[in-house]
Amino acid sequence: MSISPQEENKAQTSESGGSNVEDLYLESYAFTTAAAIVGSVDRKIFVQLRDGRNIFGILRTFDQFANLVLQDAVERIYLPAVEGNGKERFAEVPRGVFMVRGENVVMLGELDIDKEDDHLEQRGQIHFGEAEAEFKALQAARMKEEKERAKQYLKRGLIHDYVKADLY
Amino acid sequence: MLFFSFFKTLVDQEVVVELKNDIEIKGTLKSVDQYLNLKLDNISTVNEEKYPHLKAVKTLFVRGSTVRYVHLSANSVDCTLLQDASRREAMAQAGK
Repeated sequence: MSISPQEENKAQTSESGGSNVEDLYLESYAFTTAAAIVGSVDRKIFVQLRDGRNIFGILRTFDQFANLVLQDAVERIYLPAVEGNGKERFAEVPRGVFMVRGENVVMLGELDIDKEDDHLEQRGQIHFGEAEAEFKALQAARMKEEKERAKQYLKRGLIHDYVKADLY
Repeated sequence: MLFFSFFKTLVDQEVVVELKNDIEIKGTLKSVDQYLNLKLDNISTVNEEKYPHLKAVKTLFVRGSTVRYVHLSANSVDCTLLQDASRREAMAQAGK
């Protein structure tokens, strides 16, 4: 189910107040993946990926599979405070122009640029390399935990389906 | 197609989407598509601290494959209508 460039153009022009025919067009395309995302183009968004990463950037283009192209992308990792030691932490690294394959998207949202950095003020920034290492360790621990859980469930005749790719 | 149509009747209602990673997001359902991807407006999360960047988010697009539950209020659903639609769908499937 794809929207050709002309049809998408029609949808966009009718959003700015087109004729009756174009409004009809928009109605039939209202409930599509593309229609849900088109409103966020050229705006700053965040994307959460299935591997647990958060990418922040300006959405430039997308398609019906929710494949995305982000410009000025920044990858950010959030970490809890070191035990008993005050601030929660975060780390950032610029990623430039980033293309995301739609199947890896968990959710994406438009950011209010006035408020988007508020939560960072209460956090301490750390070096990305060490944040990434700690994050990967957390995920490895989680995979272990899920494997153990699956085992325990299986013992009782239940299935615990854990997909290794889903670390979000 | 049944659940796609069902969700279309729920547009503009407030729902709570529970994802497979246990995070719960409350919002107004604005759009749905054939994959049951959801678009929510005016979102708020139950567990703010795990996803601090969500405080600055106005609209959210949630991929259908990551949803575990969509919590609805009982009066959003017309059960008899839903039963009829399910029956029709089941007969259509049986006939194939």
